[in-house]
Amino acid sequence: MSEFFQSKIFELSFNQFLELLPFLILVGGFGLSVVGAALKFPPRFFKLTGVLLLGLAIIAWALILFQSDEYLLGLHVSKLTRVVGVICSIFAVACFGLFNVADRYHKRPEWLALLFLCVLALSLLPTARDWISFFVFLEFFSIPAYILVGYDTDREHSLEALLKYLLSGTFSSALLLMGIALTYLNAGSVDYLALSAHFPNGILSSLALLFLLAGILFKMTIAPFHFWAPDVYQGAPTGVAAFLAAGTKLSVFSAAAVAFSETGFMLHSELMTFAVIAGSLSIVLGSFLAFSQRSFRRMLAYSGTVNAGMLAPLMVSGYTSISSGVFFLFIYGATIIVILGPFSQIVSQRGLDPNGDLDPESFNRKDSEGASISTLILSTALFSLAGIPPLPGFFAKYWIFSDLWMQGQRQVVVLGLLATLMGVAYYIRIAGKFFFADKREIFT
Amino acid sequence: MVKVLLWPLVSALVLSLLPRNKWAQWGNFFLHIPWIVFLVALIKVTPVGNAFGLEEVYGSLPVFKSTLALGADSLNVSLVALTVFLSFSLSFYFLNHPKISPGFLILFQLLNFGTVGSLLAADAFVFYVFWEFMLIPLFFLIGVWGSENRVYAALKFFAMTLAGSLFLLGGIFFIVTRTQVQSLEWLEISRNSAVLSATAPWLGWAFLAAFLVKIPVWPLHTWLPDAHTEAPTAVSVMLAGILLKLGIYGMLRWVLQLFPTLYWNTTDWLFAAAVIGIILGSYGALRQKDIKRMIAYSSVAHLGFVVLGLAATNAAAQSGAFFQNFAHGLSTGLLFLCFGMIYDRTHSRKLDDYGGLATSNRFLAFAFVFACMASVALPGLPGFVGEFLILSGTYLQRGWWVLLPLLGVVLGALYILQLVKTLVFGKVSPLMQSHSFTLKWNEVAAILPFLVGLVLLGLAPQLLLAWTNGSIPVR
Repeated sequence: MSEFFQSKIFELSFNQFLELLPFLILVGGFGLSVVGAALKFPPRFFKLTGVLLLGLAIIAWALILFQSDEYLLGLHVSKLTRVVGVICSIFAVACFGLFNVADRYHKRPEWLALLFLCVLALSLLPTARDWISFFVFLEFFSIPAYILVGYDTDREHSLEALLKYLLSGTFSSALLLMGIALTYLNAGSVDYLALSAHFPNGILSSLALLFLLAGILFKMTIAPFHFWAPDVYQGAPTGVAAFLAAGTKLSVFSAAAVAFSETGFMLHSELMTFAVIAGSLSIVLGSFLAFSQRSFRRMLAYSGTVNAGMLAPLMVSGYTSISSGVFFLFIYGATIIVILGPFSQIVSQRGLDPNGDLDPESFNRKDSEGASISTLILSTALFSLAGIPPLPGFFAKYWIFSDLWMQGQRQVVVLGLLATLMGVAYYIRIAGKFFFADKREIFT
Repeated sequence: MVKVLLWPLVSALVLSLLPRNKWAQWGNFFLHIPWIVFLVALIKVTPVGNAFGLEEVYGSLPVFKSTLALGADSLNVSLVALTVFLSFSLSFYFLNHPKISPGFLILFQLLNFGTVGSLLAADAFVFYVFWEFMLIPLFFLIGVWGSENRVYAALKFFAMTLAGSLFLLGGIFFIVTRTQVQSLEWLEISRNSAVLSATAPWLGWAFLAAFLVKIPVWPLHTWLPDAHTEAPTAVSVMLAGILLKLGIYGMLRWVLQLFPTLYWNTTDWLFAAAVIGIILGSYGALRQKDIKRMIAYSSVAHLGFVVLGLAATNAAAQSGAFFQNFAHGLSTGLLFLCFGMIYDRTHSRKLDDYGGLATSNRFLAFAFVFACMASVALPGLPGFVGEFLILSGTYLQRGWWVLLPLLGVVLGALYILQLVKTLVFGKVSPLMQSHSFTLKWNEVAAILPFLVGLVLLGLAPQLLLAWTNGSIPVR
């Protein structure tokens, strides 16, 4: 027995153990919820487990937040990865808390186990030290995510979303894998450190970068790989859609920024060119498509494309602008969750399916309804998303714009400012609909 | 200084605890009293001048290179005083008004917060935040409490002003990222203004764009008639009374003082835009059948006069412009308020529906005619002082070109006299016959401060002129 404890895996110092603790807590949460689901525990058990263990993980990360970087078990944990872990856990708690998932799916409580897996994968993703881990963690996230998207098995939309997400996700994995293969072909390694030392320029390197970026853009819903987002956001259960929009982008953004900067790929100018083209395209395309949507959730998906497009050049420029990007995505994700929470509440107050969709036209305030707290929160959040000061969305946007400008991406900033203007039209229009009763004299 | 700024916010919080209309209306009234006290205390310590003689720093935001600084001098504190004055007068009007709910008053106080904040801000970033913040309460005030076409008006107003402000934001980005300027504090920018103008001659234009929309200068004025017409009375008063003034203030503070070379180079353009604004605004007002729209177009013309004064490079025109700016807040504010009281009873804005107000209510008719006369710049009223200074200053600089804006004065007299003739005199129209025009005490109390203010400024313009004399930078 003593030999077992002296074996390699347990040769961890106390500090290293602390680094691993949050991940272990998440794994424990997964185990507990699987057991609970097998033994058919009541919904209360899942609520408790979820809040308690995710809360514990947050605390465990928060305690070691400012410790120095650590390499262990093939992972590279840093302040960034801990922050990503904390934020993803917060998003997860918020998502299943706000959307009342536990009661809704009390007959099929496996969702909690899947959620734990998602959070675990998302917090592991930025710790990758080579492209293979990157790919594995991304897939590790995708599988439970597919299931969660299709969790409303009785709704056609949900199943349609699952199928679309699955097919397009597989396609994106193939692109990413192709990129990794080309990288290996070019440099003979997939390790970040080795690549930073040796990655010859040429047609092969450009192709490798293109494919790698394509796979990542897919998860970030950046054009031209954004087409799956509206269907998935529209079809998935509201809480899942919120978590996908908020958590995935944050984690993938930080992981990609780390990867491109550790490998030194950001020094290859063609990467920035690809990113700027994709980013500009998403800003323009996303703005127009969001503007013309009749469905609220599709509108949110396209606006997500616009926001992610602004981040594309920051993503490939490495550590320098990672803090502004992470801050932006944190604010963005929190706003999306805050929007979809009251949204589903309002929808269910109207006696409709809270996971269903709604035409913005039907948001028009009824004469009998006053302005409720949820409409107030919702419209404040929409103003924040539009980037109107003094709401947090403004500061986040301001920060990434000034980072972009500092890197010389002035055209992206100008496009971003124009998109902000269009955003007013499509966000504020909806914020107005909650308050402005139609064709009725109220005052003077 | 920070007390004057934060009090509206505190008021909004207090108002949110008062659930009933009546409580909130009286609460709003009494909450103005400490605000006035704070304002008087601020006026006492405010130095005459234009360079933030009094500045207070409350910390900094290094990420944005911003300093949380507030500044006061006679240029901005005079306008803060105007804000408080208008808001206090309106708080009388709100009493016993059936449609004024706590929500309205909260938004109204938030609007005051944004207004005072952008007046007192001594840092470009802080200024921008407050400048944009004003849009949110205004959007809801117009959109929820406005008349038929309010949603369109609110969106148009929001989008156009935001479009202008984004240029300002772009300018701020440029200063932060591409220059050696250490912070966005106003003093720091003005210290470096020569370097900034040399590295980026267009920077002043970016700042100017935001203010040209807000003033509004022709051809960017199209949001104003819609917003003015659809907004509830109190918001129309605030729009005319203080929000348009903010555009002029911004031009003086953030363009003229920071980028003087660029500014003096644009004066010919400003002159042209102002003249077109005056003539088209007056002509537009002449053609209107909708009374609020008519007043709104008259605002475009009056603000044209203010810009005309700013476009001249001598002291007479410049201080005249600031004076006219101030006077317009009172005269047009009173016009909107008087018509608002009529509209509260009849619910019609059509000119043809009216007639014989003088028979229905003498006091209201008197106040209305008084406001109209102030609007056409009758001698003895402040508009005369302002326009006289502006036109004489323009004559000094541009010679006989002054005849063009003078034509605007004639047109102005035409539409205003037509309005007075139809609405106040003549036979009592059927619509007016069917409503009672007895004013409540609080409505009279809301009108009186305007009358007093107008007479005071008209007979003793030096009260304001002497105070703000040093605050207008001259070439």
